[in-house]
Amino acid sequence: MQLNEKFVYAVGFTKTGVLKYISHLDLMRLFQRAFNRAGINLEFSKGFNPHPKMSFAQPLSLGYESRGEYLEFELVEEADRERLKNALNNVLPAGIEILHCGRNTNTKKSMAALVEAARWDVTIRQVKPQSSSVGVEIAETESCYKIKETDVQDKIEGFLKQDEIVVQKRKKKTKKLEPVNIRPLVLNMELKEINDNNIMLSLLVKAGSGANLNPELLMNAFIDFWGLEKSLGQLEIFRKELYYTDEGGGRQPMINLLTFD
Amino acid sequence: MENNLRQAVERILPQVNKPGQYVGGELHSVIKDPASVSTRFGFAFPDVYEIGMSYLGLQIIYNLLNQEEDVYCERVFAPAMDMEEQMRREGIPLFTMETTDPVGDMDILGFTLQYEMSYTNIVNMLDLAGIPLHGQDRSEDMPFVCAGGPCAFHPEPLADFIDFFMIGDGEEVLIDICRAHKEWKEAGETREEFLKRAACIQGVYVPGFYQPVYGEDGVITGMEKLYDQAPDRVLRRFIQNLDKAPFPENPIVPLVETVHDRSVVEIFRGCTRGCRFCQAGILYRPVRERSKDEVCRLAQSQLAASGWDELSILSLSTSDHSEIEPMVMDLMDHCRKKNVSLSLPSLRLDSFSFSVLQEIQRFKKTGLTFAPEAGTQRLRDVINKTITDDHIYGAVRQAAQLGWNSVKLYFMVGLPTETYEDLDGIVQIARNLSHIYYDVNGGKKGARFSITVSVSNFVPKPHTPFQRFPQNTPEEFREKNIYLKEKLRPLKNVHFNYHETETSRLEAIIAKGDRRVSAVIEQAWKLGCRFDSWREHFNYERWQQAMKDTGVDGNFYAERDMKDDQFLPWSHIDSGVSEAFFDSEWEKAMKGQVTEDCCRSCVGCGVNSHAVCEREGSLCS
Repeated sequence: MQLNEKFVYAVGFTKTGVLKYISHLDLMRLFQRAFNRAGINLEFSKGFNPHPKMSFAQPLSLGYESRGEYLEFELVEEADRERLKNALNNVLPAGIEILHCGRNTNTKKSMAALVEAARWDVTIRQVKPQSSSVGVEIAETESCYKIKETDVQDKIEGFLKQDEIVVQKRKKKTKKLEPVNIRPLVLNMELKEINDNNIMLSLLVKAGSGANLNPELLMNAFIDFWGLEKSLGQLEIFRKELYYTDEGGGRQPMINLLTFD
Repeated sequence: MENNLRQAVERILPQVNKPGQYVGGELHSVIKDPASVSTRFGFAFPDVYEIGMSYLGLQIIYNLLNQEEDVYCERVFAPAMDMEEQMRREGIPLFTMETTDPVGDMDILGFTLQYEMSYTNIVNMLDLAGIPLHGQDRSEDMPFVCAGGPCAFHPEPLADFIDFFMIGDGEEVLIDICRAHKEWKEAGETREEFLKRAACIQGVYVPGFYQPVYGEDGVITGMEKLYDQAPDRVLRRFIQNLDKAPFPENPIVPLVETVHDRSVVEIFRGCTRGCRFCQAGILYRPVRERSKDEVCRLAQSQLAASGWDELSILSLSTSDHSEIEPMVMDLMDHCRKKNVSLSLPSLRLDSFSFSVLQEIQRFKKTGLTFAPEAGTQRLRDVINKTITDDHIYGAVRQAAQLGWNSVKLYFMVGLPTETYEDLDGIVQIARNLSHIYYDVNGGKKGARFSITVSVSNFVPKPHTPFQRFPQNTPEEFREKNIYLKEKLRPLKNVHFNYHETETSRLEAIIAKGDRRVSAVIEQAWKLGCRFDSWREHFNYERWQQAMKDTGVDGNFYAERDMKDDQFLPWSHIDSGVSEAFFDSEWEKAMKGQVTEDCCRSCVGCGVNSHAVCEREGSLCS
C-alpha cells in the first residue's frame, strides 16, 4: 500500500418509489447518514468547514426515477467492495439499492467530469390527440381512440427530421425564457413499447457539464409537434444509464468505467 | 400501501413544493396492518412537516403508542398552501403519512398544541379531513378529536373543536385513553359514553361536560358541570421517573430536510429557577432528571440507528442537570469519535461551559446567547431572573478573548412595572458590550463583531404569577420598540430586531381567552387565516374582521387587569401549582423581592403534593 493511496470507490444505484420525490441535496444527506449507520468511515475534506468527500456523477431531477445513478466517495481505509455494497444495502431505505460497487478506472477524472450522455425511458400516459389538431387520423370516435405503432414511428421520424427543434428554456442567470435549439442534443429516440395508449420511448440525449438536455423539455416539444393533449402527471421519466466517451472516442455505459477486481 | 387516494396524491405531487414531505416512507416509520389494531390514532401536528418532524414530542408519542400492540399511531401534518390548493381542487381529503388513508378513518385524532398561532391550522385540518368542526356535530362513526401539549392547560379557546383535552405529561394518559377506547369499542357504547369514560381519567378534560357561566360584565365566573362524575378541577398528569419513561431509540429519520435534522435526547423535564413570566417553568414542574448514563445510552443508540451527524440535548436549562459536567464530557467523547457535532442549547456561561464550547465549536463559533430579559437589575428582580450585568460582561469579555465575535441578547418589553429607565438599561448593556469588544480587540475600530439585541413583546400567560397582568397596548409596544430602535441606531455593530405587535396581541387574546374566542378562531379561518405563526401568512386585518363579525372584543382578554377576577378562564385546570403561590409571587414581584431557586430550598409552589421534587433543596448547603 502506498503512503498517499486514496481509497476512492464508486457505486451504481437506483432511486425509485417515494425516493423519487427527494432532492439532490436530500439524497446527499441520506447517503451520509447511511454511511454512518453502516459504520463506514468517509474521508472528510480538511479546512474550515469539513465535509465528507462524496459526489454524484449527475444530479437527477426531482420526480424522476432511475436505475443509472452513480456516487463516488473516499474512505479513510481500504474496504472490500462486496461487503461495502451489502453493508449499504442493509441500511438504505426502500427505493435506493446499490447495484454495483467498484473503483473508477480513470484516475484523473471523476465520473461527474466524464458524463457525456444519458439514456432515458419516458412514458407518455394516455396519449390522446387534441380534438382541434389536424393531420392526425382518429381511427374511430375519440373515446375509443387506439394508437397505432406506425403512427408513433412516423411522428418520431418526422420529429427528428427537423433541422431545428426550438424550445423555450429558462436561463439560469437571467431567469428569462429564451429559445434554444435542442436538436443537436438528441442522439437517438425510438419507440420501446405501446401499452393501452401509453407509449414508452427510449431516449439517448446529451448529459453532463457540457451540454445537457432535460428529457421533459424534449417530450413536451414532441407532444406539441404531434399535437397531443397535455395533462398533469402525464410523463413518467426513468433514467436507465449514464454514458462517457472512452479513449477511442466510443460511447460507453458508465458501468464500464468501473473495475471490480 | 397502494390505494386510490395514494394514486390521487401522487398525481398532484409534481405540482407542489417539496413533495417529499407528503410521501412518508422514512426510516423507522411504522407499518402495521390497520385491521389488526383496535385503535387507530392520528397524531396531528398543526403545521408543516419540516416543523412537526423537528418536534421531539412527536417522536416520543409515536414510539410510545406504536409499542402498543392494539394501537397504530400515524402522523398527520398541515399541508402547505400550495398542497392545500391542489388537494381541495382534486377533492383529496387530509391523509396520514403512513398509509395515505383519510384522517376520517382514524379512531382518535390528536393535535399537539405548541403555540396559539397554530389554531387556525387545526380548524383547517379538520375541514380538510371532512370532520365537522364542532364536537357536538360529529356523528357516532367519526374520530374523536383530542389535544394535548402546553396550550392544553388553557383549553377554552379550542373548546368548540376538541372533544377532549389531555393535560400534563402525555406518556401515561395516552395509553389510558387508548385502553379506554378499546374497552368502549368492545362494549359497543355510544360516542357520549366514551367521553364519559375519558372524563374519569386523571388529566382528561371534556369541555362538553362543562358550561361556562358569565357575569353581567361579561367576565367568566365559573364552570357549571353537566356530568356529575367529571372532576370539578382537572388535575394534570405527572410521570415520576424519566429513566423509566419510554423514549425513542429508533427515531423516524426524515427523507427531506427539516428545521432540526438531528438526534435529540431530553435530559430533564421542569425547571427550578422560577422566572415569573415563564409558563413552561410552571407546566413542566417538578424537575425530573434522566440519569447521565441513560442519556448517554439513548444518545448512542439514536445516533447508531439514525446516522445523524448532529446531537442535541433538550431541557429548559441545560446547566442545571445535576450531572451536567460528566454527562457533557461523555457525550463529547462519543461525538468526537463518531464525527458528530454536538449542540448544547441554553448553557449557562461559566468556566466549564467555555472549555466545552471551545472544544465543540473549534471550527465555527456559532455565537453566544444571553437572555437577561430585562435591562435593569430592578426589573430582573421583579421577574425573578437572576442573571446580573456583571455576569454578562464577564462572560462576554471571556468569550471575546477566546475568539467569539457575535453575541445575541434576548429582552422583553411590556413587563410589569417597566419604565423607560429599564429600556435605557437595554441600551446601556449593548453599549457596554460594544466597549468590551473594542477593549479586547485593542481598541481597533474595525474590529469584527456583532451584537444582536432581540426584543419580544411580553405576553402574560395563564398559570404564571403574571397571569392577571394586562398586556401593554399595541401603541405602547410600538412606542417602546421605536424608542429602542432610535437609541440603538448610533451604536455600531449592534443590530436590533423586534417582534410584530399584532402577533403578540393576538397571542395574548387567544392565550387568555375563554370559550367565546372559539368563534373568532373559526371566523378567522373562514376569512382565510392559516399559518398565522408565519410572518408571510399572518394577516391581522382578517383577525380584526373576525372579532368584529363575532362581536368579540379582543382587548377584553388582553388588556383588562384581571386582578380582582374570582375565576379565570383556566381556573378549572389544575397545574399542580397553587393559586396562593401565584398570588404571593405577584406580591413579591411588586415589592421587587426575588424568590430563590427551589433547588436551594422549597418555595412552596404546591407541586410536591402531587409528585416528588427530585431537586428540592438539593443545593441547600
